[in-house]
Parts: sequence; structure tokens; C-alpha cells
Amino acid sequence: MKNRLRVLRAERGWSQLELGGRIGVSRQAVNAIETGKHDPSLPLAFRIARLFDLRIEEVFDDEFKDD
Amino acid sequence: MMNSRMIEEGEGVRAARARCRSHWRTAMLSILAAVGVALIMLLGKTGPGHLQPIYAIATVAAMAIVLPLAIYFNNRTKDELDRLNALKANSFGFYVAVLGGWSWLVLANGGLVPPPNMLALVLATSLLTMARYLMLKMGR
Repeated sequence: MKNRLRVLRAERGWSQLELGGRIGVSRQAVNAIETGKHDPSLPLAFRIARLFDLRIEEVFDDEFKDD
Repeated sequence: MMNSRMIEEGEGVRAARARCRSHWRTAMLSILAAVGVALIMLLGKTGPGHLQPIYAIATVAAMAIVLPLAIYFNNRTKDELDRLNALKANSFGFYVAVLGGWSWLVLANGGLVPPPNMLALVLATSLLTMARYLMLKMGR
């Protein structure tokens, strides 16, 4: 799933480790989410969106939107 | 004024490091507990492949307590990606054990290989499960 996590993180000057610590996952997990190798669970997606003060669909792309 | 050191040492980094420390602490305690179980077994050894019955029972009972506790506390320190990796590796290990065990048995019945050795099967399954987990952790 595509997402804006890398951009949002860069805007705040955070490392992957810093972001991971703030949302309770490892640096590897942040990297996997950013590169689209891992789709976060709904609770984690909510945590991420809340951290950036955004809605989930503003962070993650709904690739099935037009289906 | 914010410098790179301050960014590096933010609250997230501190939380990540605390999580990492907690993970290693749990892992070390699990290893110590496993050593304890092994010591109980060694204390009751009377010869190669022989254990005093009371020590055999104590070893199995200690394993039955230590293993679920170690899995539970290790899982608590894992994030969702790591838990998923562990789950995938465990599924892989299950297929190795079932396919390997049955194949070995069928081939032994056909007189092609020696009878199955439980210890070899358990060791192979454990090692391959760990190898698969490490591969998944490295993103492969």
C-alpha cells in the first residue's frame, strides 16, 4: 500500500528510529511500511495518523477506492 | 536551537531504545531459564540417554512452564511486523516437520532410509524455523 509516511517523517526531521519509538514499532517496521512491504494493522495505522494529526486516508492510499 | 544530536535523541529514540533493552532483557532471561532446565536434566543423568524418573518429570514440568512464559514475554516485546515474521517462520517450521517427518517415515517403510530419528527431526525443524525467521527479519 502506498503511503506518505516517508514525506511526513522527513517534514518533521525524524529518523525511522525516532518515528518507530513514537508509534511503538521497530526501525525495520517503519522501513517496511514506508517501502510498502508491510501494510500496518488498523490500530497501528490509526496511531500513525493520530501522531501526524491527519486522517488515515491522508496518510495511506486507498488503492481499491474506485472498485 | 535544535541540532542533529537533539533530533537523534528525541523521545521516540529513547522509547525505541527502551523497547530494545526490554527485548534483550527478556531474551537473556529466556536463555537463563533454558540453561536452568538443561541443568535439571544434567543433574538427573545416570548414563548416556538415561535420566532418573523424578528428574525426567521435573525437566518436562520446567519446560512446560518456561517455554510458554518465554514465548509470551518475547511476543510482548515484539512489534506487529516481528510477530508476523515469527508466525510465518513457525508455519514454515510446521510444514518442514510434517512434510519431513512423513516423507522420512514413508521412505523408511520403503527400505530406502533408516527409521526416523525424532531428535534429528526436532533439531532440523528448530534450525530451519530460526533460519527462516532470520531471513524474514532481514527482509528476504
